[in-house]
Amino acid sequence: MDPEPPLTSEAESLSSVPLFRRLTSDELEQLAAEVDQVHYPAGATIFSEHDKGDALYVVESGSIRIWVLDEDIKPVTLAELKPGEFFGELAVLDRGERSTNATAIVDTALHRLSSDDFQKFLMEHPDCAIDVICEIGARMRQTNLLVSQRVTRNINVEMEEKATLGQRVADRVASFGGSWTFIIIYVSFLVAWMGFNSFVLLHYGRGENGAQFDPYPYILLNLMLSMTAALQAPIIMMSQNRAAEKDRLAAEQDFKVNLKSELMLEELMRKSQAREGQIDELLESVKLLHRERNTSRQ
Amino acid sequence: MIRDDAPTNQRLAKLIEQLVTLTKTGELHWERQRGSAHRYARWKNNLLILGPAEPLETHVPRYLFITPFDSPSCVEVNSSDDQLGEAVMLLVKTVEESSKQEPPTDPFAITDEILARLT
Repeated sequence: MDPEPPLTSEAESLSSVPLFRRLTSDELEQLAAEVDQVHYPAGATIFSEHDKGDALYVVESGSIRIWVLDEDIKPVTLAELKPGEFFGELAVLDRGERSTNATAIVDTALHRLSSDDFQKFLMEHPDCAIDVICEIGARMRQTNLLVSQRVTRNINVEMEEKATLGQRVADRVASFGGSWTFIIIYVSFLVAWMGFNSFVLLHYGRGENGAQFDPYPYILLNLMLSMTAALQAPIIMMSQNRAAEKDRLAAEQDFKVNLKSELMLEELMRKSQAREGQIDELLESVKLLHRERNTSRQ
Repeated sequence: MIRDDAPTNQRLAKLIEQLVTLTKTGELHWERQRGSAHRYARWKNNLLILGPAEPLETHVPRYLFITPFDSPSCVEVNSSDDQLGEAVMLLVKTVEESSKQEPPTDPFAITDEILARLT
């Protein structure tokens, strides 16, 4: 039996990628012919969100950061990919737009497999397709966890999600009770009530023995106003309690974020000072060497 | 905030137990700020916070918040948690005990260092 011919460097490189570990030497060579080698310097953008997904990438060397912008337009790192890992598969599979941004952290070499070639590859190798699905599932779990566990949570959204029906109603009542709409409707109702009872019913609405519905000083209206005020006060207090709780949680959240930022800044300052010290030492050494060289020349 | 599965709970319980031990032996140093029940410590490039700001006597649920300095992710365990609540409270009590003698930091304090820089 003849020994298998050695793999080309491209196929050799692909053989170390977990996604292609099930392929035979011939299949690796075939795949190598379809794959392009691309290089990106540190900081270069491989693709941006909403770009058309036209290729899958496998990291050969270097490191890639996958990130998105959150609601506050702050970048959130979803993953840092090392050699052997792949990315850009979602847009290739559904032929849609890119859902993330990809940036090279250091100088990076990638294998680039076009959309058509990748789909053909998956059709021919169902085992690899299952590996891809497993990897997508694992990434989705990780992303869900990351999004739910960020330090900067939106307290308003969380409180809104946890609010009971009674609390929502209290918020609505307090919000409506504190608006010009409510004041205008209420004043209009009072004026109409008083006018109706003072003029219309006074002349046309008398019952037996000249009895009126709610004559001046409008006792029934006063009773209704008192009842409204008695009900509105605790509802507004409920809403205020909720607002206070929201403020307390927001203050807690601010404390966590501020403390983390402060301590990180302290650490950066400390490192910066240490670097300055090292630079001073290096400068001294350079000066010393310079002096020694000048002395030796003389 | 934590996932409700047994292995994760076990790992977190072990972690809290380790924090209690480190606090007792003095290897984990917790700091406190004047006028707040917050306690915080640095451990293995993580920030640990025990809160909230309300004093323990108010019976507001306590929490342990852990976040790495090099990542935005975090873990929060609450004292009202069925499985880990007791462990969190034990940690809170241990930290209170150990930081009782700790002078509180006051960000608004007038110190000699600040005066020396200004004058």
